[in-house]
Amino acid sequence: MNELLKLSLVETVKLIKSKKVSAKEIIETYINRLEDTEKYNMLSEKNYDEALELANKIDSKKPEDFRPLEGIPIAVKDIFCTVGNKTTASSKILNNFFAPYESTVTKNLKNAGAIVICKTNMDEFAMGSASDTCIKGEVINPWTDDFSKPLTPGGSSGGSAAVVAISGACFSLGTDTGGSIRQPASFCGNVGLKPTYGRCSRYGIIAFASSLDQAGPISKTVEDAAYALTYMASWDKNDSTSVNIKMPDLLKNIKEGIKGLKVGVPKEYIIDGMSDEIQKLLENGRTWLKDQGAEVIDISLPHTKVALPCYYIIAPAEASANLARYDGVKFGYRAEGPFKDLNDMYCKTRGEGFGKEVKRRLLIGTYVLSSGYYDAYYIHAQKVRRKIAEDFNSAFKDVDVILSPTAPSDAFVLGEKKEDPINMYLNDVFTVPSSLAGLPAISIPAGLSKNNKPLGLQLISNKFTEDTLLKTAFALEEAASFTHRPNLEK
Amino acid sequence: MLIDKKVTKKIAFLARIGLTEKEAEDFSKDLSNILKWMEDLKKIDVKNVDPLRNINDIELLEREDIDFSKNSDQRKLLANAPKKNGNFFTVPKVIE
Amino acid sequence: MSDTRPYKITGKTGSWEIVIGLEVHAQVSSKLKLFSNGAASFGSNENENLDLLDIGLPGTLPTINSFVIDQAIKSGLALNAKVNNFSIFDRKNYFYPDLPLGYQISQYKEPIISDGYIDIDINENDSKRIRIERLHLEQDAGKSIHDQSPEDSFIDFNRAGVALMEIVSHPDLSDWDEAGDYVTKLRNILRFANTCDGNMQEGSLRCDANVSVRKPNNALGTRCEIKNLNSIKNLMKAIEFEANRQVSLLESGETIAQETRLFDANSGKTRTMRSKEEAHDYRYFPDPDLLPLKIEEDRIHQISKTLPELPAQLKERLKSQYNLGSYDARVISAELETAKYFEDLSEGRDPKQAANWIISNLFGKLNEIDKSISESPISSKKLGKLLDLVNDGTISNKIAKEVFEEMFMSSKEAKEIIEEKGLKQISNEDDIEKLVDKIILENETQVNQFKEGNTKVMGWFVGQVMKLTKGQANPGIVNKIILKKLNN
Ligand SMILES: [Mg+2]
Ligand SMILES: [Zn+2]
Repeated sequence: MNELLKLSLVETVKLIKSKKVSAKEIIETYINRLEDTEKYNMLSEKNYDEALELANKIDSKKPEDFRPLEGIPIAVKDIFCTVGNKTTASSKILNNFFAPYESTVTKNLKNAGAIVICKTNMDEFAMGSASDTCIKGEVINPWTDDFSKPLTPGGSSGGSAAVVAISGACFSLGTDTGGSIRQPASFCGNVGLKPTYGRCSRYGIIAFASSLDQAGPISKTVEDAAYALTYMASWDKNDSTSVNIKMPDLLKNIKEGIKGLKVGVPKEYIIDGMSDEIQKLLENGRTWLKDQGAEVIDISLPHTKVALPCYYIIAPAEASANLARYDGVKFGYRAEGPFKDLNDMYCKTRGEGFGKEVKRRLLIGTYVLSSGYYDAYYIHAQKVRRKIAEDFNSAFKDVDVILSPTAPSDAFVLGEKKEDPINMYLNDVFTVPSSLAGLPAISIPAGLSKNNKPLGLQLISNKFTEDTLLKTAFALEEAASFTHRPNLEK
Repeated sequence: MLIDKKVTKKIAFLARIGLTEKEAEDFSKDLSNILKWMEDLKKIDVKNVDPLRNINDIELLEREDIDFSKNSDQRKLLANAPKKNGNFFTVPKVIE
Repeated sequence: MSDTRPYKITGKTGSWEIVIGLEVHAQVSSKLKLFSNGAASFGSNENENLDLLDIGLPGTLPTINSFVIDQAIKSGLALNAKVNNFSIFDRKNYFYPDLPLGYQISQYKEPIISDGYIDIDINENDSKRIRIERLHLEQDAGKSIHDQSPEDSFIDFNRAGVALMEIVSHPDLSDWDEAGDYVTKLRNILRFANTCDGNMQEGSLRCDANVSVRKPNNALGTRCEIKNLNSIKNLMKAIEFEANRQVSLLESGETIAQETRLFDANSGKTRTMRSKEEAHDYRYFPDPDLLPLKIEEDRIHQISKTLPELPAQLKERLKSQYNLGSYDARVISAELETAKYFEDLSEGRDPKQAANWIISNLFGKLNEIDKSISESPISSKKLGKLLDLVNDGTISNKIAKEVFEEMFMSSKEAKEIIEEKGLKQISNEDDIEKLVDKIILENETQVNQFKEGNTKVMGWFVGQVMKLTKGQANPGIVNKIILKKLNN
């Protein structure tokens, strides 16, 4: 493997600034890498020409004029609106959509000098945990050994996680609604960070569930994640839910250690039927953090068990309204006429334009909001959501950070759970509660399963304490010293 | 089954999603299973609990009504239209 | 303040009571839309006033217009209502081509304004209080145009997202006249407050009416909602038709189906639009893209200080400052433009005279050509000059009315017309004396009648002078001289 591809984001930034390597060479190297790994079906759009053009411009600049991400190739989940490329959310209904504006997060990164090298495949409208509902076909986990039984990269940000796993970008962008950054990061051996809800603007991100969606980076290292988030996040007047709370300096104290820090392990996260290897992983996590000087204590988050059903009411309800705009009138797909009437056009357009999982969730969402069921489902779920948030609030009176596995298993075989929605939803059992509570959380690669596939540990901290979260993650990363990379020569 | 085909079709029409008979059948099963799976939720006592609308207790930022408008480039807005006529979006005739 | 009017509908089975509640949609006067930076102005080319949100582009988000909130607060205060410190924006879900997001952002359970009222006049001395349940903010939809092509409807999103205030009354209205009065009054209040221009032709103000009928003291009947009434005349006609329709159905033993109906202004009838079974399930829920709207007391206080004079206050002021009677004050205060016209006209003149001219002369002519006072061909300044010519004796009141008619047609100044037509009043006593002398000389019979005590014959002499002067002689002077001469 080209030595450049082994570097972290932070190392690459330094290297470009030193002018020892040109931006063009960096970009070319990454493009070659992506070209060599097409079999994983990670990309929805290639942006190579523009990337090279931008790299050339950078090479004519003086290093003192370099911005913090100057010349850094990034991969962007195809849910961020970017000018000049299609933005499809991996859906037939948006198959030919060109956004006339740029999302705030990608704008921030471009303004910091980053170069979008490609856009990545994902579960349609970010609804999935296996990246097996993309219009361009399934994304294959680069850790796959046997191509007759390809593994899922996780989802919904599966393409973005896979790209980082094969070093196709210095970092990538994902979005996380119930675990869509953290779970694929865990399955692909990456770091995946979901910031506090409101840290990154949602403006220009195709909405799935507005009260939950958050953008975040997927990277090779914890420090890279801290570096990337620093330039992604902003208070944005275009997003009423974005918060005007200053981001702590994420890099300053990241290496200072966690002596005296209190880490809680929720007893409810030890679930029935959890495999030995996940239990073992969690034990290792405890030990590592203790060895680093943290105090690890058992805590309780009593409403954990109902977080998933609660999530599967709230997220589809919001989605059922968010996706109503795809009606074949203003943009996107319209079914072939003639139509009996307007409703016929709507029903055909949406019936043909949306995939099965999206339809399933739109039906759930419509049902739980419909007359007669609203109070019993939606309002009840919102009340339970408050209980879940309160669980965390009281836990954070005693601890600084919470430790758990990221996912209940390693990467499974694609298609395995496709016809069993509830089994698929269970993938998010550890990630959903913190999403409902709007908390920052991160997945760190921490071990290999008996199948030699990566397993992640999750850390969760209190709102707006990404500095504490990343400091702890850094310590955990050091202790776990996960250095495995997928073998791509199969 | 909690949700039969008739209910599924009614919900699907509310959501304006056309379903084949097979889909209606499959989704009836799925929705029934999912709703059954959600039953646990109802056991949670939420007496006197306020529904949580927004996770962050922040102020609604207000935008000024200043004397300019950011009318966007009309061509760009119409560019993605599946069907248009001049500067109009068009749909099959609406009869009211 | 009880309703003293008799029941408007008497059927075969006796009197019927009508119960009406109105929902008025008033467009907020603002530069930009409620949740986007698209221009809120009317009359641009199709699909021109659009920000990204206005066609619901993926990834766009709503942000709220501060001035629109102020306008809603101001309207609430003008309607004697309570401004809520906490309100919520909800999504109202339904599919329609001119609804870009697939939902309307509106306010459902917690509106910005609640519990107001308007007092409408029932007669000179009596008024009736119509309670306002709520005023909430919501987005307007776009416009579907059906007459441009045989196969397609055309969609224009210019209006989509413009801020509306939906003002919902209690079912306190008992007939179409009251309904008309209520909307007229509501419209004026909003126009005085400067929060809605009230232009019904352009759709800045639209009404939906909920109508039901019942036998006095019986339980409420089934109601029908008539949608989108775009003039007060149509509102009144629609209610009249609908109430009568319901009465004849009930009297022939049928039942009323709860439904939404449309009014056809050409036929003067209402017809079914959709039945209860087809009714929408709007699936309201709080919009997660927005936060609760919190309004501080101080903000309400600041806005209350900017509240201009409202119709009721103006009416009182017209009585006290200008000494107008109740009737004149009511008519003059009914429209912002009338009040403005009156105050301009009465500046330095007799207010009673000004009010009279407006009410009896100007309104009459305007009615003939179906124009409003703001479109009057005679400005207050021009009319003022005409009155000055009456007051300084240049012309008589009678001539003034002639000149006024001419001004109305030609847009000439009063002075011009008087000169052109030689209508100037003859006030020169010598000239009039000569005429009077001549008449006395030539009409011995009448002179003798006067001397015998028949004073009525005075009028005959005056008439002769007016005949000879084509009515231009100053009647005061004519009278004075005739009396003097005859008594000699
Ligand atoms: Mg309404
Ligand atoms: Zn409305």
